[in-house]
Amino acid sequence: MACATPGRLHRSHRRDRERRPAPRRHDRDGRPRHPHHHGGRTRRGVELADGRALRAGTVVSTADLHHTESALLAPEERSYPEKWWDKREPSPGALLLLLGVRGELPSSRTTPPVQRGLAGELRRGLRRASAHSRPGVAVRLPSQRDGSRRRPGGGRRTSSCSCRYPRTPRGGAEAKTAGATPPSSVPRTPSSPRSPDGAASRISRNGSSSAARSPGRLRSRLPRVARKLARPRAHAASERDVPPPQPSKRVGRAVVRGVIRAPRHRPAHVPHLRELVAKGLRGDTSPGPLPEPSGRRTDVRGLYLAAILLSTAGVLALDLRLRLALRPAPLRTLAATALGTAFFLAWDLAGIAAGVFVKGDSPLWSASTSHPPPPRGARLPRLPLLPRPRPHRCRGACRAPERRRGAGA
Amino acid sequence: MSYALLSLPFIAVTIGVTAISAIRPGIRRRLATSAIAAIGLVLLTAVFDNAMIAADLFAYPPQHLLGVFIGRAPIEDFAYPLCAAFLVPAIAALLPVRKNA
Repeated sequence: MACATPGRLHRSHRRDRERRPAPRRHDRDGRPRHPHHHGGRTRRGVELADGRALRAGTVVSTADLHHTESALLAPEERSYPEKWWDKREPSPGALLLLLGVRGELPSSRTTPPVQRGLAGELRRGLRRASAHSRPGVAVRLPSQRDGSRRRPGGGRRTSSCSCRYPRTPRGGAEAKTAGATPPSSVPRTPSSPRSPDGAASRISRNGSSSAARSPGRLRSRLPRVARKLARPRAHAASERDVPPPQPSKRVGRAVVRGVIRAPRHRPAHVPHLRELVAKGLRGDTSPGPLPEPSGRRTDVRGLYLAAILLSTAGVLALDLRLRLALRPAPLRTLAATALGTAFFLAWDLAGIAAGVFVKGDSPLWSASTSHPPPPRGARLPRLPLLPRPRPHRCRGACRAPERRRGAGA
Repeated sequence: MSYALLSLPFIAVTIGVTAISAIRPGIRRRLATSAIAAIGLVLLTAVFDNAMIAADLFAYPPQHLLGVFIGRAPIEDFAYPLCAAFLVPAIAALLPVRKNA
């Protein structure tokens, strides 16, 4: 797993560039070129600013193309001149990948909650990252503490900048390595030759004298920027019309946003990227897409009840066949069993009410619920939820003493 | 309330009923048979209680337990089979036997 923030990628692969000519990274349509087409150049991974080298067979920048080209790649490695970018409108490509990690993309305003949700995963993933870690997928959000991306006096002037928001530190350098994906790939790595100073000078050439606002503030005004910059018909409706922010409500740990009702405002999502990230997060290094869920899962609901009923039937059969208790003294046996059942039922109910017994969330229950355990004194669950009907289990053995008694009588 | 405390009245009822059942003939033999049955039931409980807990059919919040476990089953859980083995035969012994039985 290799991860890097934009600032930390700056120093990577200088040595590589000195040795060999730079290849083109993307084809005309802006798609990354196949790793095979890199002129035999070998990339070994990402070298971070702090000197650590993250080895990887393939390094894919999941930042948007503009950011990758203009901020991460060396000038001689770029595919597009600056003029080309001036005619483009931004689309939230990088955001789509990030948002695809967790559920859908209701609106561009979801960035903060998604980041919140991702923070734990990222921290875990980054902690695991090492020079020789298995190839995987890591997504890195822009570092808020990365001083190289923050300029004193940045302030407001950047907001009037004509540059697209992907160029801002917002774009992040999501370096994603998936070494196992192309089996015979020539590894490649987006190098980031541009020093912070170089980046600053280039942006100021474009009319903004300061390179960046702080990432936090920028993030907060992203939706507005995206709406403003969206040009009619430049993109599909789902990308073009950034829906207005919607009230969110908290459900457990997840933040659920309102439903977008207009049919044309379906949230955009990138399924295959989502799968990739999901695979990486679960440590799956196998090539190809996520495996389909294997067939129908066996329905085990009610298995517990079935086991109890089966045991009862077995006890009953033995009892009748061997004339243990029910045949010699049917009334007495039924009465004793009923009293015993009532006794253990009372025990169970008391335990539930006291909170000593908590129903688990096993799929074996007839009615699988994920309700929290009933609070003290709560209404008792219905019959299928009753815990541990133990009297069933012991009836056969309980009768054993009676047999001799009955036989002797 | 702890599990042990919860079980106390039920164990008391069991002991009481078993003691009262001494008025019926054959108490020694009944107690001996109950003890044998109890051993079997405790063994079965040790196996299947563990299985049921492992299957997440139910759980015991640890703050209510004494902290002694047989596998995953709390030691308090074994009050059930003991009570079952002694109480139900005692009840059966106390119930009136029909004349023609």
